[in-house]
Amino acid sequence: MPNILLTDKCVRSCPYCFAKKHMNSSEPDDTLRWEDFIYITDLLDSSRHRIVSLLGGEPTLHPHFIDFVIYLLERQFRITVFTSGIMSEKMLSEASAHLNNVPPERLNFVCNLNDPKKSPFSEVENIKKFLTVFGHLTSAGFNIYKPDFEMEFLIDYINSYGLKRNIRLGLAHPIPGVKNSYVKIDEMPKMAERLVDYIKVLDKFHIKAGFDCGFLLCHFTEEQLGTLFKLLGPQALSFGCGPALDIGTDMSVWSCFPLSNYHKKSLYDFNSMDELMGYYTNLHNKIRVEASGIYEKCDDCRYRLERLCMGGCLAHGLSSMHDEEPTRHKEIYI
Amino acid sequence: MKPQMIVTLYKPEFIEKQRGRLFVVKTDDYGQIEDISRVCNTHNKLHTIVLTVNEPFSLIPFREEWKNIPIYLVVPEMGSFRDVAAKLNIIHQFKIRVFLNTDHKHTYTNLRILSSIGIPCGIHFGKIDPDWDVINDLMYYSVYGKVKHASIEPFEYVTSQYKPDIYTDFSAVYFNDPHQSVHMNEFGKIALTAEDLVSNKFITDIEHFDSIEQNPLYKEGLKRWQQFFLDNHLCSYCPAWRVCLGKFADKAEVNSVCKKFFSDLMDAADYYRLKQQKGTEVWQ
Repeated sequence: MPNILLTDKCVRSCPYCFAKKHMNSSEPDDTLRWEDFIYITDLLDSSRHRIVSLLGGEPTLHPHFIDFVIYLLERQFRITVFTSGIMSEKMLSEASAHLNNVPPERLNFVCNLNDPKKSPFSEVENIKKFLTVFGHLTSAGFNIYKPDFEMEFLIDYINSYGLKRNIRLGLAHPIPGVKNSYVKIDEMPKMAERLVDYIKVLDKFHIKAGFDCGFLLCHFTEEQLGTLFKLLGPQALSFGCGPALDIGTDMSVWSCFPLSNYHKKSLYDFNSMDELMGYYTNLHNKIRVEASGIYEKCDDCRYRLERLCMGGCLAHGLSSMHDEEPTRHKEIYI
Repeated sequence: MKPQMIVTLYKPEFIEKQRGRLFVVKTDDYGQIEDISRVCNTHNKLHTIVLTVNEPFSLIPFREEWKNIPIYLVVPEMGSFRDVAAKLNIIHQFKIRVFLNTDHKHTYTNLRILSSIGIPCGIHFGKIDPDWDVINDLMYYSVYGKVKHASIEPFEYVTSQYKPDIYTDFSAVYFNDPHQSVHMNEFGKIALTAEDLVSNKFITDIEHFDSIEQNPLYKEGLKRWQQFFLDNHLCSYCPAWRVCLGKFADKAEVNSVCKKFFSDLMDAADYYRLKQQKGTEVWQ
């Protein structure tokens, strides 16, 4: 599922932000043009991709955000909007008027929620207003960036505002060459233990969690994996790391935010999404030859070879090679 | 060949007196649409209603009764996309083509939007010099686009009608090609083009319409383009002459950006023609 960035502007500055490097290198008023948006839509359409995600920055800051969503709906796409939920009264009111009655199977918001105790009051109030209007179309998104994270507040949000009863769990990753907060490799087992505890609690409230990319199978004990399987089911358990394609406001394209400056191309270089996906899959495979996973033991791990686990986020491997002498496959360093 | 269509303002008493004619009726009142259709289709035939209104497309109060009436809607701009989207269900049932004025700064973008959501549309050239680079982008989208979309005029006309050995006059899109249509005033006087009608340059009247192809003024008018060559005008040297016919001689800087656009349009027309021919290869 490709991600379209509508704008590089964001209203927050999360400590774990994996888009930081990309945002820092963009013009502050970069927004996606209508013509480019139609081009992307056509490319997806011709490649038979009917599911798309809208991202930012904060996508609702784009002046045509509502029109873009209506347009995609008209073109028979299913849309996920990744938002902070922070928007002006005017935008919220217009969005409510035009999008509130869209069926949940056509439009889904993933509201990226931070701990309200550590967020500014006005930010929390804005999010509450958003969830009051769009709670029924919204799933909570939560990014783990330290091993001693807390998730209780998500239960409050879900119950108070009628959010969908599933949480998208992201794992913050390092950005090669940039300082951001993320769970260090040696902290992963601690993070995993805490996560399984939380999943047991969430289950009591009939809330499921789904893993985004970058989790490792071996971070969990056999017992923990059994618990996860029992509580979440096999579909929600993902230990993958594949090229998630991001399309920028300037029509540049890359695979995953942590690798946004890594082999960035122009979307116009590709005739189809399959060609684009093929390019980055091939590139990732080359990197995996040099660094199969975040641990050395990933090299001959049977679960990685059987593709049950991808060995964690590629950015970890690349990050470890960032300052070394260029002795590996040349594409690693470009 | 005799022109088939008579372009006129809506004068019901005049149209009712005619028999077996094909009319293109111009109006600026959407309250007249059903009347025009009824009156024209009684003893004659309605080809199209050209409805020119000074309101955004999004604000036109579409009515169910317009469903089977062919309408060319000429408006200054598209207006709010979300308002258009709210009416798409009904608009898609109409035989409508929307023309947006090039003087509005978002027209080229809006034409692309309309086309991509299946609304046939077209360029209405305004008073300001067109932005040929942007028109070229739009033409590329229209001809080479990756997915099926509604046609955009005049690109559709040129690409579908183009023959390498003769001229292709896209004035026909605007009912202004005397090979296909002539213009009539309220007194039944006939002019070759809309511009001639405004300047009162008449060649005959409705009583003599059936023999118009014998009219020397008509025959002469069809060869008006030759004047470019007699005047040694720069347009007559242009490689894209065959699809432009000097239409922008007084507007654009000759042999510069418009030449590039019309040359690309010819290439696109060739591409389209070859693509059509491919389907008839013997070996296939």
